[in-house]
Amino acid sequence: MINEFDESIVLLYDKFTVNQFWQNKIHELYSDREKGEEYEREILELCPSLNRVLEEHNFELKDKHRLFNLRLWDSNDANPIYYGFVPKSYRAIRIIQRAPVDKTNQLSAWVEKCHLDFKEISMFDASDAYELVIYIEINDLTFRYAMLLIYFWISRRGVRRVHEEHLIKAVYDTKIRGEHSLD
Amino acid sequence: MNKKKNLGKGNSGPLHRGRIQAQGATLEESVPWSGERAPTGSEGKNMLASLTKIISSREASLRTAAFKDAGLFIDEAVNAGGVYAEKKKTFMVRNTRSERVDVEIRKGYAFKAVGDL
Repeated sequence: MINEFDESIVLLYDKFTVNQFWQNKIHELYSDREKGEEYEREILELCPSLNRVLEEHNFELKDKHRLFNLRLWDSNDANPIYYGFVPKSYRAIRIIQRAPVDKTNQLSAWVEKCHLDFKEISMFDASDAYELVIYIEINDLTFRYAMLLIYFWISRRGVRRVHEEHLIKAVYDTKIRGEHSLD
Repeated sequence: MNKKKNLGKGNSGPLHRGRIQAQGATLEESVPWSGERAPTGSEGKNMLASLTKIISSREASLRTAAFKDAGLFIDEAVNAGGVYAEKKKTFMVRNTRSERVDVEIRKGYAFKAVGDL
């Protein structure tokens, strides 16, 4: 897989820069409707059954809405490299990044309850929120599908855990899984 | 949905709380702790060992590297004087969609070299 990313992002040379990279890329989803609509077309190709969710619930994010970059990220081991919270859709995103070990596509994902109090966000009780967790070794393909999963997760309150997990499975089974896969 | 924070929440209950868990597509097993005394590093290692015995040998074998990485995290925590809440660590099984070992310190601290006096 040819990589168009800066080596410092892929290999995690400066973890603060990588943390900001994720914050900026996710916040761009708030306002880049062209990219969002491109993702929605691909989501429907991957999971036609999600059409109803996309049709019945409008895209809710605006540039002015907040995206918290929580201090829970770890600058030592990048586990996680990014921990974000989107108050508008009441969703968290935790990203664990590792420098690529080999040339295989490594993107794992699931949804789970946050179980944390997020003390640093004094205005919100996010303890009942759910988070999308992503494990990634960045290349063009894994990054594209990580962003597609994040886009769907934060774009609408109508997106439920079961919807996201349906999409995760479709992405993994059709775009990520290879002969090397263990599941 | 922007719920206002209940400022009283989280101030009661045990001083130290967390868990070590093995999770995946068809697995969810954990060894939790909750009490007035924080688990030491060696107790954390024992929890990891307990977890490997709770799950099937196949699931444990799949997670060999993840358990090793979780053990190294506990070792590093001991050397650093413990690890404080809130912290979530995930040790992935590469080449899987969601198989993993998690270490969560939800309240208080964990994995100092010696126990509380």
